[in-house]
Amino acid sequence: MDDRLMASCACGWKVVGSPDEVVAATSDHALRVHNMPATREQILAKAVPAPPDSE
Amino acid sequence: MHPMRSETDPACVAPPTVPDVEGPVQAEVFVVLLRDGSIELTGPCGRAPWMLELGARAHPLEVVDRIIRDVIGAPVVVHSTSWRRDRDAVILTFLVVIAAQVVEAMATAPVWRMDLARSAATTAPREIAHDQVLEHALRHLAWLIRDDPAVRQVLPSAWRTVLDDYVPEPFRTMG
Repeated sequence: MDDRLMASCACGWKVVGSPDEVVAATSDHALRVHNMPATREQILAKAVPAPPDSE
Repeated sequence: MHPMRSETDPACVAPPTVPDVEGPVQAEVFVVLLRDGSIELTGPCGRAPWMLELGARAHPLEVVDRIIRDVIGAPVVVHSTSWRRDRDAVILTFLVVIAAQVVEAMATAPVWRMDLARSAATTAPREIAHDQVLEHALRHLAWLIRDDPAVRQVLPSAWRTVLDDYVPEPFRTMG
């Protein structure tokens, strides 16, 4: 089963990867680009399954 | 194994799946540069508004300056030009001028002229478009480059030339 996730930001940025990768990249993007701390729980609650064509 | 991929796609129209910028006071940043005599808009969000969360303690201008330096590079001017009520918050607008060579591979977009969002004498405009906020910010910069020695000193003369078009006619005779 493919557990890859996708997270995207209102600014157009997006990431596809494993849950740990998505959490790390999203946390970095949110804090560095938007000065916005985001927890793992917040990120995983918003992330969606990666679409099949995102490989 | 699938490698992680991350990218910024200004054309992305999918709903965001990252927690949105929140808080009672937020910053909206317009990063502009001058290239071949024209003003261009840039930033990590392309033409979309670049929103920053502002905490209760840090000075908004210091937050914007720090983020700009980290994400893009050293700014030439960082100035707050307006505020408005939106997104269930007070939005502070910041205009940031950077040198063209700092942008590197970051995408840029042309800046178009817009009519201002006009208010009544004692009430705020009913609607304010993103491009109207930028238009107001550039008119503010056109005033600063004439009135503020600190801004005039750091902006190359080419900026004054291009900003002449943003100055109301009666002001131009004061140049």
